[in-house]
Amino acid sequence: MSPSDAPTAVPDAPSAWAHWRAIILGFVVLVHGIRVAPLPHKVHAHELKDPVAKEEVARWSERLTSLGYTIGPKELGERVVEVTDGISSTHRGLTAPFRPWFRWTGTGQGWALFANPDTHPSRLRIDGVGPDGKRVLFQSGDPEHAWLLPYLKHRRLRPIFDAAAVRRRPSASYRRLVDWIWTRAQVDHPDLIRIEAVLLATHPALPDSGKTPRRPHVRHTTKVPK
Amino acid sequence: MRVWHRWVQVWNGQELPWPMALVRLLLGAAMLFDFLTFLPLGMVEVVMLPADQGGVLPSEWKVPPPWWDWFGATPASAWGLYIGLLASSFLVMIGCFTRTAVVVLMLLSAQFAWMHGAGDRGIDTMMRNVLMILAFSGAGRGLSVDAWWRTGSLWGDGAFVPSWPRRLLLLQLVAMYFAAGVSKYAQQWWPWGGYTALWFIWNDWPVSAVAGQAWVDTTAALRFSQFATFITILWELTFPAMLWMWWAWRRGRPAWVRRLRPDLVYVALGAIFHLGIAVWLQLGIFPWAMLALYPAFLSGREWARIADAIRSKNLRGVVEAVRIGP
Repeated sequence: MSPSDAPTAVPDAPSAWAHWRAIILGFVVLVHGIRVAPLPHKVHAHELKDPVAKEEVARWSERLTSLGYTIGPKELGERVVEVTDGISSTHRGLTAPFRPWFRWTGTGQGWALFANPDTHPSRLRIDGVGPDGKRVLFQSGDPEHAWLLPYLKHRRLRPIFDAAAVRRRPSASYRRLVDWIWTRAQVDHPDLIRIEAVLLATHPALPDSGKTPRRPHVRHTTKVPK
Repeated sequence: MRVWHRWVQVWNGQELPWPMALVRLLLGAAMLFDFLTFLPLGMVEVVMLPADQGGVLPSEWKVPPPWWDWFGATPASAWGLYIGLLASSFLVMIGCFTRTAVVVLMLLSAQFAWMHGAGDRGIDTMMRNVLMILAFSGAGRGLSVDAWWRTGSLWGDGAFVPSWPRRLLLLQLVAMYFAAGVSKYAQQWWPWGGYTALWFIWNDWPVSAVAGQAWVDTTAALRFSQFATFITILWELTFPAMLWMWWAWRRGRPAWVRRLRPDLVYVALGAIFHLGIAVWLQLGIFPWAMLALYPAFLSGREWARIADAIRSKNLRGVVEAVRIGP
């Protein structure tokens, strides 16, 4: 490695190229700056029917009302849908010319890391149905039922059921995943006649709340073959 | 004119190649390891083929991935893409045909993202953003096979590279952490939600490595998670202060910025944050790929001094190397 006392490279008087580079980088920073602007994504009316979203809207309504801006949860929900639709359309319009570039290079910006933690997180359970009845093959976080665990926790498959976890109905990608699980079940458990992928909504209660966690309820069940 | 002159100067100048060489090496290693995890599980055809070919991807597309247009959606094309990803990430890691390898890896990864959008996360986008920057950075000038070919030493000759790619990468990190902070609209991240976000994330079955464990349901765990949530949101929202700290360091005032190096406190908190994610959550490559970018927080001269101190087995010199500053 070169000596640590290497002189700092003092910028020369900016050349013509330095100015062109500054223009190009200014443009890049501007386009990515628009992309990275932490604007709320478009909220659809059906998303507000989710219990977590309902809770969230109700809490914001309480908070805004306590700050002197009186607004009910229903009205707040409608406003959120309207405002986020406008913001999202503008944002999409501004970045539309660059979409092909972002698509082909796979670059972009969007960093909502755990923006909205799920207060009713879903737990995946896969039941196998055989001639002798039903048995649990897999359950998240259950070492005794860990069939396909290395696959289902893999970062290229986990997001599929992670994304389905907040939906009321299974998504197309989730159904394809369950179809694939069935093909594996036919190899590993040839006695089965069906599998059922169950997403259970759990209800963790804060340790200092004095509440007992409610029993999980089934968010949706996908049976293969139907 | 003065503002323009400053803007030009921000992107002007040169520096030693080590930080970006380290980023290249570590990011290449992280991506290579990530792709290698497909092999023992036989995941290549599962995540690179449509459902009618035995995978989990859609069979019907409005705009199909160009890779499938060119080579078909067959097992052979899936393996072709996979081997391309493996080979290019390996070449990026060792710095062989660096610029070409970096561009090929970015484009192939983008094809994979096109076909498997559900399995392509923010960290994948971040890695491609960084690959784009690396393509212009001279990251193959050191710690690389390219450097060995050119100079006869794997370390390279320490020839200067442009400083703007590292600065752009730092700006990307500032933007990412700040945007992540501002986007946290759920009550649980804020005082009125009791700073309970991390506790709920610990209980989130798909992503948590500790959900269901008894200790999570203790008051001590809750209190710790509240503290960690508070630190996280504070750290993310104030991350742009790094820009001021770097500027203040260059200017030499206020003097305490040079004396205390608060920017390194932020970097250390970031490292703890990502290590915590690695322990408590199952996010795959995310914490490691992010930590792979951290060498960019130190300048080439700082890395050169650190290397000198390590070579002379002077561990105190490592601290001194950083204390002196960029």
